[in-house]
Amino acid sequence: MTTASPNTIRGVVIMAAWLLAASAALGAGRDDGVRRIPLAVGGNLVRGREVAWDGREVYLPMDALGALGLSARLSSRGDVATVSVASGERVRVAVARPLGQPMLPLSELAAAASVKYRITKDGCSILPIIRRVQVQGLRVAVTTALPIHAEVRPAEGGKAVTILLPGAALGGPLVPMQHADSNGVIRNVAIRSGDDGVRLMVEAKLPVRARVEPGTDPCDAVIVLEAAHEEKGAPQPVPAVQSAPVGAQSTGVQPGPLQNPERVDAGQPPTASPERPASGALENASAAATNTPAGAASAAPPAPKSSAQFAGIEVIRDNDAHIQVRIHVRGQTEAKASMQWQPWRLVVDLPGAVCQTTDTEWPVNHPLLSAVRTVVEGNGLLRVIADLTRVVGYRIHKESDGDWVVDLGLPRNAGRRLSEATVVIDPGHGGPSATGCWCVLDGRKVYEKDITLAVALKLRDLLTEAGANVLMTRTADVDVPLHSRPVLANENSASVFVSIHVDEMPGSSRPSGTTAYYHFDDAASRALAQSIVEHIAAVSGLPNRGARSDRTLYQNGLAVLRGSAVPATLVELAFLSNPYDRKKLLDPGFQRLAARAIADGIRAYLEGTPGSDTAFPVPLPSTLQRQP
Amino acid sequence: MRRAFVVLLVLVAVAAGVFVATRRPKHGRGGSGYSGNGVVRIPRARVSGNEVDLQSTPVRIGQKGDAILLALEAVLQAKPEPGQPRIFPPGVRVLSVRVEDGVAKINMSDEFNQLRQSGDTTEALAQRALIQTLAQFPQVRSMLVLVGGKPFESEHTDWTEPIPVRGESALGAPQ
Repeated sequence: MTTASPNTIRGVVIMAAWLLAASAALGAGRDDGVRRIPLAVGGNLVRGREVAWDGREVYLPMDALGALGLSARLSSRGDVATVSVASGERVRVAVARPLGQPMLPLSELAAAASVKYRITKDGCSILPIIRRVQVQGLRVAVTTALPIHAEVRPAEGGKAVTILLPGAALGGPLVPMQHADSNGVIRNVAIRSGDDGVRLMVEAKLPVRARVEPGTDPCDAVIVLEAAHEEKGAPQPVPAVQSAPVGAQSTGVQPGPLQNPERVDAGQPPTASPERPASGALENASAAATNTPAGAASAAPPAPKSSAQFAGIEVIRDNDAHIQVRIHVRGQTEAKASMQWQPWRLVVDLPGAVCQTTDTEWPVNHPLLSAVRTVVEGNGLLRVIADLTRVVGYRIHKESDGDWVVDLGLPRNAGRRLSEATVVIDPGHGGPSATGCWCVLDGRKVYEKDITLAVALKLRDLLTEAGANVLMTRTADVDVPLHSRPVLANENSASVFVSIHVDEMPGSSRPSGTTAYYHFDDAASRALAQSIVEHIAAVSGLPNRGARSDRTLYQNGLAVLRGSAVPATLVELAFLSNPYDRKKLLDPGFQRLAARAIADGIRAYLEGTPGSDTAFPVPLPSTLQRQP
Repeated sequence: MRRAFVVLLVLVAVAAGVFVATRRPKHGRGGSGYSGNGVVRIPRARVSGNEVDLQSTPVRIGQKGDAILLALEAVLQAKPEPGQPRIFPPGVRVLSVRVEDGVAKINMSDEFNQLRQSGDTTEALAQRALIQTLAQFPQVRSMLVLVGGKPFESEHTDWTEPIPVRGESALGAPQ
């Protein structure tokens, strides 16, 4: 046997030293940047539980999963965890060890638990998603993914109630909402998401007051409205603020927040914590609203910072087709604009802006705008409402001095009679090779191209009867090149271009409803899309997925919209993969209804709202009247 | 004595190697660049409420072979989670992929054409899944999808020009 030479020994020693140094450096380098941060669920701090944050991902300790209503089992090798969801579904998730102990990435748990999360300087806030809103009579039932608090606040002189769900989030722009107010007291229910949670705005036709009652499920809250009957002409006062935890049991136990997640079994509601005041979330909200340091120091999702002062509104009339609304703001605040229908109005939310003026309404005398007013909602949300006379195109931008400027304009080609307009209808797909999506019915395939053509032909008849000049990209089952479709509209200087399609999501029957797309951020096309989708949703009985930019689909947008020089929209009527939607799509009666709604939407875009200053006072032909 | 010393040193070296190997993260972090560790994030479709979006999970593709090809194969063949939709047509494969001047030219098998018979939601998810996968490779700036050597012709959007893979994070969230 040979013995090692001194050089060999020296070499091995150097190699070993290098390996040790390298491993130490690598080990130290991995822990760099990983830090423990507090965890809050539904706006409430989970004491004794911290999560790891490496700058990109949040890692949850296995024993903190109860806070999300989850439980998990580690594989024998310890590299994979099988996570059980309350619904019984199981998800396999790779295990990470950023701090040495097994942890799971929150990004992969969030969807399973129906929550969103947000990282702030104060920690990680988990936001339960609103699963459903049900309006039954004068009861508004809200179901969330995890138990949270609900608060009610009066607004607009008692004729509206804001239901605040601090620490909650929306899963998307659409919340499953059932509305069956047989009493006719509730005018409208709108839902908005903000930095501090979710707000439900319930507008009533008469003064109401509200209280929160526990639901049958820990994740339910029921808000009961009562008409504040006028006695001797004076409405009864609405209570200032009421609060109750979603999930308060009828036994009188105050369960509420997630203080003891280690005691929570999967799928079970968390137990009560005697340490926590029942109004914790409310305290956070109130503190933030009054701009006290307590609100900022909380681990709850940050309330809007009150660093901006709202000084008033200036309305600058340019001409009858354009008007500018300047919202004078000093300081930093974000603005979110959205258009609402019935009646048309543009709502600009300025979270955290503090009113420096006592004015709440600014007189406007303009064909597009009847009034601008402000409403201060709970928790520092300032809402600017522009009451419109019709659907308009709008753009919003921020000036260097902090002002937000909203440009409102008559959309391109609008302000004319439908009977004077040229409308190009594009039934999607066509021909033997471009069938679009399909389904099997009674053993035979039903193609998207046939449904779109059926609706388009009905729409053509309605518009022609109303006197419009209608051009079709196809009237039979023929192949039409994609890029030539908008050319027909461009070459004929059409007023609008409407492409009709059907959506689908194979493998999932859940997505449902109508979507209208517009190209990128074209304001006129957005107005057209909004007008059509609102008219369809009003009569179809399907969810309204709203008007969306085609940028949310494709990098280049939709080809027929991209190529259109005239206001254009692509309407996805419904989902062929959803049984309820499919039944409607294949029903000729529904096809007629959808065609009539599209025609109404086009007319509203071109002519404006009947009776308004900008509307042409021509009665609707009987064929375009909505059926009762 | 010397032999024992050598054995000890070898054992130390092996232990150091094992230490390094076991400290390697088992979970790919974040969604940024591919670090060469054989793990990429693969997007899958997930339905939440009435919305469909992509959610990425780390998948080990190994370190042997072309990482871009392996990543694309992984996203095409990714099995959907129970109850969740599949994005790509069954059986679709990557025949070849090469990167020229930052453009990843991906030649797909004929099955990719079945996307022509899908709705906008499905086709959009497919495009975004490819983009998100390729965005992990810094050398790729855009992608061009071919089927049988010719640009894929969609019934909804234009795939015939290279599609940028940067800035995809701005996509997807409904306005």
